Amino acid sequence: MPKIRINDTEYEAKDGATILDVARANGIDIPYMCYHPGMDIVAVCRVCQVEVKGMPKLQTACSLPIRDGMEVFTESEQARKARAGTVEFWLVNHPLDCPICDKGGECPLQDVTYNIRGGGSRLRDPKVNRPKRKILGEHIVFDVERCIICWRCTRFTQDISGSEQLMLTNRGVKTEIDTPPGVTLTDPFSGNLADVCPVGALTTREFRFKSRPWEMTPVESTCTACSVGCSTTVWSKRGVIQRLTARENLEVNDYWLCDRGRFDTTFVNASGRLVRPTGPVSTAADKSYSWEEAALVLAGMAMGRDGANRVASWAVVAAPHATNEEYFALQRFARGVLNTEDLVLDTGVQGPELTPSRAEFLSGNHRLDAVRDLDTADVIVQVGQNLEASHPVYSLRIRKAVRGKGAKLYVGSTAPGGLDREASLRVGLNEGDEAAFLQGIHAGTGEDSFLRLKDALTSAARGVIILNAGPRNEALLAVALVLTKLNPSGLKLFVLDDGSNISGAWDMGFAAGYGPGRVAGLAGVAGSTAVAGSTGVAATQGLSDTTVAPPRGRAAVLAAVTGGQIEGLLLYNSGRPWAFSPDVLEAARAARRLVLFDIADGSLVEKAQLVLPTPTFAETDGTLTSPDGRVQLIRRAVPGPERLWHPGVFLARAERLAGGATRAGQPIDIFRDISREVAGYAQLNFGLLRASGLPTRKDMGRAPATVGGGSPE
Amino acid sequence: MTVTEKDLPTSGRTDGGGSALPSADAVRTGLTATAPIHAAMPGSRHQTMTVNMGPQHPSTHGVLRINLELDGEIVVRAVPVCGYLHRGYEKIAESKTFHQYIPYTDRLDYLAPLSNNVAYILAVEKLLGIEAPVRAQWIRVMVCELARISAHLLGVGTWALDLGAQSMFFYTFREREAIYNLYEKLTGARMTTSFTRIGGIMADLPDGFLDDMAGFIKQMKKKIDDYERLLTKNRIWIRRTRDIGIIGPAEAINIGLTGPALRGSGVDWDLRRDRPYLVYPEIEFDVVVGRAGDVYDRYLMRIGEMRQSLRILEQVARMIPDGPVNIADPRISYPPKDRVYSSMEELIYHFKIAAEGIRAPAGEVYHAIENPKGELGFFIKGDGTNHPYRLQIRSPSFLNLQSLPRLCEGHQIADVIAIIGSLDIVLGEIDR
Repeated sequence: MPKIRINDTEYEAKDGATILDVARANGIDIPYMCYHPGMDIVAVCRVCQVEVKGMPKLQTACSLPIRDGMEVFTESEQARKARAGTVEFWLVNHPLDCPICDKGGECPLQDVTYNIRGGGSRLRDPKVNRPKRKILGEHIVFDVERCIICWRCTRFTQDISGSEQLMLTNRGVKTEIDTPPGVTLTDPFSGNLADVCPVGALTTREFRFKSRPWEMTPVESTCTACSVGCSTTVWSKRGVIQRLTARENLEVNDYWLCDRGRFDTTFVNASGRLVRPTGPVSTAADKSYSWEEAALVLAGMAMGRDGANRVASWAVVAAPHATNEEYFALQRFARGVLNTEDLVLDTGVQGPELTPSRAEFLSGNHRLDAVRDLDTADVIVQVGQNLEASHPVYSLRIRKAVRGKGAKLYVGSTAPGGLDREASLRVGLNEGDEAAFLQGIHAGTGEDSFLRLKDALTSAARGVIILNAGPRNEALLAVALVLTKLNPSGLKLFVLDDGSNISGAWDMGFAAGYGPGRVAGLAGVAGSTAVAGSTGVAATQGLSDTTVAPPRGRAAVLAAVTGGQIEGLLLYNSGRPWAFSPDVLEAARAARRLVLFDIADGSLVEKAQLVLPTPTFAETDGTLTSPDGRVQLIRRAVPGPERLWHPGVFLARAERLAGGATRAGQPIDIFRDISREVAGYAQLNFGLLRASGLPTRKDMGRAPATVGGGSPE
Repeated sequence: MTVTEKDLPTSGRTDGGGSALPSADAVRTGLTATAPIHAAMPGSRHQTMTVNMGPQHPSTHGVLRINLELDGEIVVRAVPVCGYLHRGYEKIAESKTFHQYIPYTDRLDYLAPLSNNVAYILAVEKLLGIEAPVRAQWIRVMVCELARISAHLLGVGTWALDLGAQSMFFYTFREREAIYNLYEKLTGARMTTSFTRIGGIMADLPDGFLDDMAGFIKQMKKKIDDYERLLTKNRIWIRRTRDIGIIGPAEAINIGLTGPALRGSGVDWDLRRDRPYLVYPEIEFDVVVGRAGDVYDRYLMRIGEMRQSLRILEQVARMIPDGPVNIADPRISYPPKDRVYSSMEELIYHFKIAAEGIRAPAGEVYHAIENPKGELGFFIKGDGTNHPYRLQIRSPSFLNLQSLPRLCEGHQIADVIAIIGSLDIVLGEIDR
């Protein structure tokens, strides 16, 4: 391992590291503006210049690889002078905008000026005026005067997002950033430009003039817009979200966040949020209940002993982006109190369900272990929808693998997308043809392309097939599993569904016939301890005298609700807005009793016998599980509606009032139960998950959960 | 460590003002204060009674409550109860930048805010390892001494008022008003001065300030003579203060008394001379030391110290050098405003200082100065950020108050008022 000396102290370094890498790793302060750990090195800003013994001229620390025995001086007279001079040049035409600039207070240019410039301005001439407020796209505004030409933004669109929608125009002092002629910045990752810009030149229209950084409270959280689960920081001021920024997490999203996740937050502080429980028979003027009353109403509907209000049979339908804690509490309440096994995750009319084949796949060897493995894949086949639209940040990871490590990418997609440019081969498919496409590869006949693909997959050392066909994943998975037989040791499957936390819901046992830890139930006996993971109220009160029919599929459950065979429907949404599928809506309108959990007012509120507000993603603690089985934490960033009970607390109270167990229902309490009852989550806790989350054990569902069923209560 | 009489340095005594002390015998009251009346009445049955003095009592100088156990008129036990003015000032410091905390120091001993400003900023500068320019140091000395006079004026005035000498109060407040006018001219505020800055002061002296001050000094000298004529040989005053609340030097040190209360007991200790700071070594002044350790001597200390402060002020007016009043480092001192409005570098420095404050290195410092009421010290633990990790205040009033139970024991209840006045406590710095 090479050793280098920086300022007369010896440091060990990795081969191929640069001086700046070593300095950063050891806390030595070398300023930089153009360097970004997620991007290629260009050494254009020149502010990291240092003196290296034996080299006549100063060297840029970011670009110079170390050599054993190298001696570096960061604070020599020459180096200091050069850096101070560099900063002075930046400031010559930099506008006096700090008081109105969004970057002020978190601005690297301010920091380097304060730390290394050290003197007053020597400029006597008037500053050059350049265009301000150039609107580049839907989200980004550009201020030419503030730009220091570090190329971070142009490199981002060229190397990271691949859209190539920003470039440098003109030469010399007239150099400026612009979109190519006639092009608008439509890059689906454009928000990152404001994150990477080291000055206030690129700002987002959503955040401009909203807040100073020190007025906001940053909370580290995880995005719930899709199943990728990018690490984010939620910035709020006085209970209102001001912006989301990407947070470094090399296991998931590197440094990036897509525009959908970044900007789709307005519903949190929008009007029309539900704020208190309501129901049509409430005696209050505004038809509201206290939370305690609402819990009593629900308990009465579930277990009412007078028979008048009792709802004999229930189905539970939930949106696919709630937290693990909510799913766990829901399934526990459904099985233990409502005495039902009819749990439906609303992933679309024909959305995926936890079928035996899917459960087997999830616990099997063909599943991709970690998203990071994409970086080292040599062959990647992506089948289904445009990945850049459905799971945007995964497409960045794939582009990195293709451009950085030379992976071969083959795309068979139903819509064109940004990844197509990276693909060695792109085949346009009609919806529904995805399975046929894979079958074609398996057969390896007919077209040339199939043969090429088959060869690539057969010879792959670390091949990944990404299945992203939304509702058609089930059929696709069956074919893909056959395909893996071509190269059993070299192929992994990565199944992406259209819901932010489907993996979590299934892990928690929110699936008909599968208990916590995806353990298959005992022929679907509701209230069974093995399934529910705890003693059900129904069982203890002798109400589950009959064995409920084996788990029905989604269609059958909804048909039974619509047809009146199932009386009660508990409809659950939290976290973000969700339009329930048409068949769910139909069932909800037909249901004799409807209990609705939702974040905002909607068409079903009128119809429901009991309406309960739920928190959005920014108002609750909890965990999410990504498709590769990584658990990450979301944190409460804003207080949300006053006196809002977390659904877990509410369900625990209703269970108690219905004669069931007494439990603590805060997310952290539920997670304690999860870590006890779900095998893959054993020994995890909120503290461990903090920074970047942790993978779960993959072998869930094979054996009964560790302590699982018979916990005596 | 406990100090005994023989450990004490023997020092000459100055009485500060040159006024001759009346003989103690001549003013002796005849009643031995330490011998309770009931002791002379064997067999009499008596019960003690506990009463609260304060927290709304005008003579407790704020919201102090004293739990008095009385045997008739005699104090058997006096327990001060503080905390009524607790504002969490030490905790607040942990969430304020070093600059942002300056206004809080105004509200410690709010009778000497300028002096508190100086004490705090010297501790911060010690942590940063910097020193203010010489002119700023002279101005700091000047404001400290103005603060001392103003604090003593109020202390003596209210004390005399409490003991029934009402006119004294009006006179001292008249002169204090003149000092406040000077404050106003200098800092823009009469009480909440917030005058110091890291590496300097808020602003240089306004035009004609030294002339105004010279006029004040001239007046003030005469006024102090007036006070002495009113009180020093006043028979009632002497009878109310002589041999009341006596504390010996060793005990005074062990309790932690500082300032006039300590020197009244004959301990020759003044931080301005013994732990010099600012430009005090270049200035001539005497440390006023008493002998008897009673309420009367503590009064004489304050009169003497006001004269010495005037002497210092005269020297300041004569010797103050020209030059900048703020350190030249643009990362510590705000750049001039016209530059902030017109040039990039200065705008950024201004923004960074205002928005983020100055980062201090990790480390611990304690710095104390001789405040009007005694040793005011700031302990600051820095952790490399722009705010203290922990800030603790050693406030003289709090420690001086600890002597109250000892001083009041065996005296009449009316003497408690005289004793509180002689300790010159202020609740703003007792409850922080």
